[in-house]
Amino acid sequence: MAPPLARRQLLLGLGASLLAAPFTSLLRTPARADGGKRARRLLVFFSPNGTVHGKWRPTGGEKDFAFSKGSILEPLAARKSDLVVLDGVDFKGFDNHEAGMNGMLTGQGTLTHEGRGASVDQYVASKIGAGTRFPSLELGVQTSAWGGSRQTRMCYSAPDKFVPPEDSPRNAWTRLFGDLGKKPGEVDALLARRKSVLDVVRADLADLRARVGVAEQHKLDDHLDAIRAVEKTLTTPVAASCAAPLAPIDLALQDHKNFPAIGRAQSDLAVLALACGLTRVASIQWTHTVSPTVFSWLGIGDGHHELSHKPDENAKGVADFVAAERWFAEQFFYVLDKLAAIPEPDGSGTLLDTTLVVWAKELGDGRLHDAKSVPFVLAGRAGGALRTGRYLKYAGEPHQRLLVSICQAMGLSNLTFGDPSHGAGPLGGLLG
Amino acid sequence: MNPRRLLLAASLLVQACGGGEETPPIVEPCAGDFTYFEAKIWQPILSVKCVGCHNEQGIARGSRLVLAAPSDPDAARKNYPVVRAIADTKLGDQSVFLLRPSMTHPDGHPGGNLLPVGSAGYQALATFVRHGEGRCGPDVATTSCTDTTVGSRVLRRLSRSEYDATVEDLLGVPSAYGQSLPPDVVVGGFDNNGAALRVGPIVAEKLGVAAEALAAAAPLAKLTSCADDVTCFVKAFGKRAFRRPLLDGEISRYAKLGDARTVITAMLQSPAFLYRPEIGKNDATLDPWEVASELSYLLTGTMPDVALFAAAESGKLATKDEVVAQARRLLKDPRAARTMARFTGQWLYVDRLGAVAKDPATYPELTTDLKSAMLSETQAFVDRTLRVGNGTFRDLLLAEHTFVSPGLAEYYGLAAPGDDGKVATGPLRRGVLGQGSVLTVHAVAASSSPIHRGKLVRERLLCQKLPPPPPGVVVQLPPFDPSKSTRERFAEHSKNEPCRSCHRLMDPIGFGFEAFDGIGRARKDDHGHPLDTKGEIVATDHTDGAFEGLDGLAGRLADSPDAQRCFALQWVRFGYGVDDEPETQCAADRVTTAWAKGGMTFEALILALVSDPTFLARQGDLGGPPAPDAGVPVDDAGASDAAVPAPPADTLVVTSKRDDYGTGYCDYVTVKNAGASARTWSVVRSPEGAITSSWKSKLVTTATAWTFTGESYNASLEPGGSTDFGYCAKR
Repeated sequence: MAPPLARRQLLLGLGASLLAAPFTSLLRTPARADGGKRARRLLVFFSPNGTVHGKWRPTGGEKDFAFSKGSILEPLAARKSDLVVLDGVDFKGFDNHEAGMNGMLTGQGTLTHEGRGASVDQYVASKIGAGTRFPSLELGVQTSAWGGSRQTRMCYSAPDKFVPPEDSPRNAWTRLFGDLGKKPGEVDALLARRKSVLDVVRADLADLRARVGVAEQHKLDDHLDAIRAVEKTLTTPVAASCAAPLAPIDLALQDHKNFPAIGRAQSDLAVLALACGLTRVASIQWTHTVSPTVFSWLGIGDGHHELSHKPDENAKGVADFVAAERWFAEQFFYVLDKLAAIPEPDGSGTLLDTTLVVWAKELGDGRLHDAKSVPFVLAGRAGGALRTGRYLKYAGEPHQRLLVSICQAMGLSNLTFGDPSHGAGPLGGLLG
Repeated sequence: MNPRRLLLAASLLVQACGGGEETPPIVEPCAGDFTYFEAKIWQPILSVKCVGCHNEQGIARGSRLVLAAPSDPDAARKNYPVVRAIADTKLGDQSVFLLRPSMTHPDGHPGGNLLPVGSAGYQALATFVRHGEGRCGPDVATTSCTDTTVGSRVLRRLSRSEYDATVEDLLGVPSAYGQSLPPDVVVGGFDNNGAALRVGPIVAEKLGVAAEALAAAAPLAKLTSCADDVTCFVKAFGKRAFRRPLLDGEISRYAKLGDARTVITAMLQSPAFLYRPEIGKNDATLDPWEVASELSYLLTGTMPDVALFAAAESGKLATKDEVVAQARRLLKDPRAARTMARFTGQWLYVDRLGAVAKDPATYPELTTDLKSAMLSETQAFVDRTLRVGNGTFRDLLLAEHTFVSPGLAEYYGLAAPGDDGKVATGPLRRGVLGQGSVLTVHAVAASSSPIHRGKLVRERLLCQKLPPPPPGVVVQLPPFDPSKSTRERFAEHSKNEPCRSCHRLMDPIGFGFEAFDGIGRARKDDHGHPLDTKGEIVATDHTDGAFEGLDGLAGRLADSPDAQRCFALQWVRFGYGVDDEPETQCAADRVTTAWAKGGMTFEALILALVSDPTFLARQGDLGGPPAPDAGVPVDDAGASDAAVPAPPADTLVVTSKRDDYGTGYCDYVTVKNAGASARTWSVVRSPEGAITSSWKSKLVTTATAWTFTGESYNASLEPGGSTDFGYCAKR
């Protein structure tokens, strides 16, 4: 049974030794020794079904851009100086719903490419997530009514291996904050018991592995990797200093009416997990490509995917789609606002100043199922790595270069990510 | 050219052209071949199933098979030499004319499996092919399946629902932990695919949390009579948890954990608990404990009961008779209703009803309670019709009654149901396709949808796959216009060629459902327009033809061998946890045949499933001694390439799925080593367009061949091992 859930000081992690550790060590991570500017955290924000460019594009030039009245990005106007709006970044060599969803964050990488087929968030997590309790945190909003598939998943640990999001705020809360209230002595005993249990599981895996063919051996190797990851989660000493939130109320997870409330709860948890140093890499996946979500709270009757196919001559249909997209922009704004409200303990600004936030989509023009000018929006100063307050127009750059830029903003030095055949290196003029 | 080819007197044929250009004489490999072509190939097959895509403007105009339209009075004669040449084209020793439409060609067939191996149409093609080899005798049966073509050895991870059911039976405590796992990967519509269900970090972490909580809650005294003897507990509890007796090494390993709750915590995370092995022994037969689990999870969705364990213990489950006897018993077990509900929910996608997107302004009536009532109706109807009543596939589609709550009966406008919920529907709403769950899920947010309903029939009742819409085409219909009927609005699809080639497979079927609105209510008119429920099925083996309304559609499907085989295939997929491997199709053929012999009752179908060779035996390699690099991911095995001997060519099984967009396509290719030794692989394709991307392979292109070989990490395949690669091309 969970203890009473009053707001209280949070002591996270396992092992008495960590109690002596400075709670805020992670938050005080200094900038790179060489003085390079980089983000401390990465937050990916996804919403589906492409865009209508005419209603999305800002007006004006790189620094004097504006969002016209009624346009999709207008709700972000108050944070214009925190944004980089990217136009003309394409998916090269693939398009349509499923491939878009699959390639958006992976850059269509394979095991031989940088990232080894993982999505960029997982790649970044593998590089900078070791010191945190959760290398990464995937949160979803009604992503899974159709089960797991290339349509419903965007995070990958390897080609065809999904990292599924948690759709339940309640489950996510339990995972993040559920160890609250255990006494240090109990924690040590639990840790020792878990270790011996996992040793037995590992021995069982080895026994079984010797009895099966190659395909099943790979399955068990994955399982063994998973056990290692769990063990690491269980034994990584982590301390954090922040107020634990109240547990989110239970919501009917598949009821479309609850879409805004679930999304709000997941946004709060993602920001809090980043703020508390529980993880450095998080994602919020709002539904999935081909999503049928009905935005009934806006008085819209059609499903989102249907709306995304309304041609220009259908003014009412396009207006409904724009309204839905503006609503997503408001949710993005909310996340940015939350980050901006949390000061860094070392006085280096707010979390928004030190985080890179990426609003990603899986298609360009949803009506055409194409992937030209996929509407990416970046936000947050990324510890100074990202020069914000700009509208950048590219002429069909491969999005793998954006993924490289994301890695570099996180302090990594790789020059390619995913399939490098369409171009290497970061997007010109984005960072620095 | 075959020396036995005969010159047919061409004069009659020339007359048909009405003079003009000189028509070349027809060259026949066997006397009567042209007549055979016209009567058995062109009229019943090509002019119906193929010419829609294979014509000069069609989606398959880039292929070798480009046909003159049936409207051309000279079509058969013009098409004969084209088809004759393709029939004479071999890949290995098999004609591409047989390989393509049966989806057994390594490149697959974008139009789907139109003529499954063994079907009547396939037999006709085979005869035509044999003529080209100079074999001019009567038809003989042709099949590439043998009686013992069975699936691979596999470890099947418990699905989420299987986990919860198993834990509840094992520990006697309720569990929702399975439901808190990430939703399972769905393959072919089903969530229990043996290859796809794996344990990744999130699953492992949640299983650990669940194991600790369940072990803490377990009523130890009720589980065994071992008191404080840990070794006794390990043996007794372990035998139920692992669904087999423990090995000596396991007993000592677990006993060292010291106490029963820690033992439970570990066992609930052990692969011996989490996976159901269908591995078998050296001779490929499954052992009785494996068979006990197979039966139990197939029919009751949970661990074996006492009687099954006893049958395994006594060794009796090695015989088909005992397996059949146990299956009969388990079918009557009330827990089998759960399995029926899972099958039904996933087969018809009605388990998505809870998450279905509807416009509350258009459909305020569709409450959560109503959705539950609809789902309960369909689950009860299928279970009571098939399992409890031992009904047939015909009954499923044609029953003129259903089982509903009083509220749902009122919603439908039916009489009040009896105490058992049974109520007459009449022919208008007959069978499972007339139920609110099906009609609501397969519609859009604010209206009915002939597309979605046609797609349901095409994919789930006829087992034909459909490609996604082509990129670059605005696929949206004109806005809702009250002056037009649904059919008029959808007419756009049949005018526009890129749309028509696929929508002709869906929309005309879906029109048959137009007497029902987007939430399953019967309607008298279509927004003021008279209802028009005339529909048509095209491009099937045995089901083509016009029909009127749901009544007519259900009748056509109920007696269709295509739909019957599809239903058997769905049970093979669900029952064996497999995707559409070649072995799956072989098993589906055998099961269909055995089902028919058993009188097409549901019990006959289940007994056919458990009597099939697949149920008791598997193919593929066994582990043997661990490889020297055991535990190391196969990433940089470049050095091993040289050590792999050149293999015989026939050990490579290449299967392919294509997403075709008309102006381009993507092929997803699986390569499997069916031989007994390790080998490298390469796959050669005939160029079709220009490659825009490829993955998981190295590609060499020339004007006549695209040659794919593996990357460093997947070039070498162990026996039974497989990899996949793919590419996309623009035409």
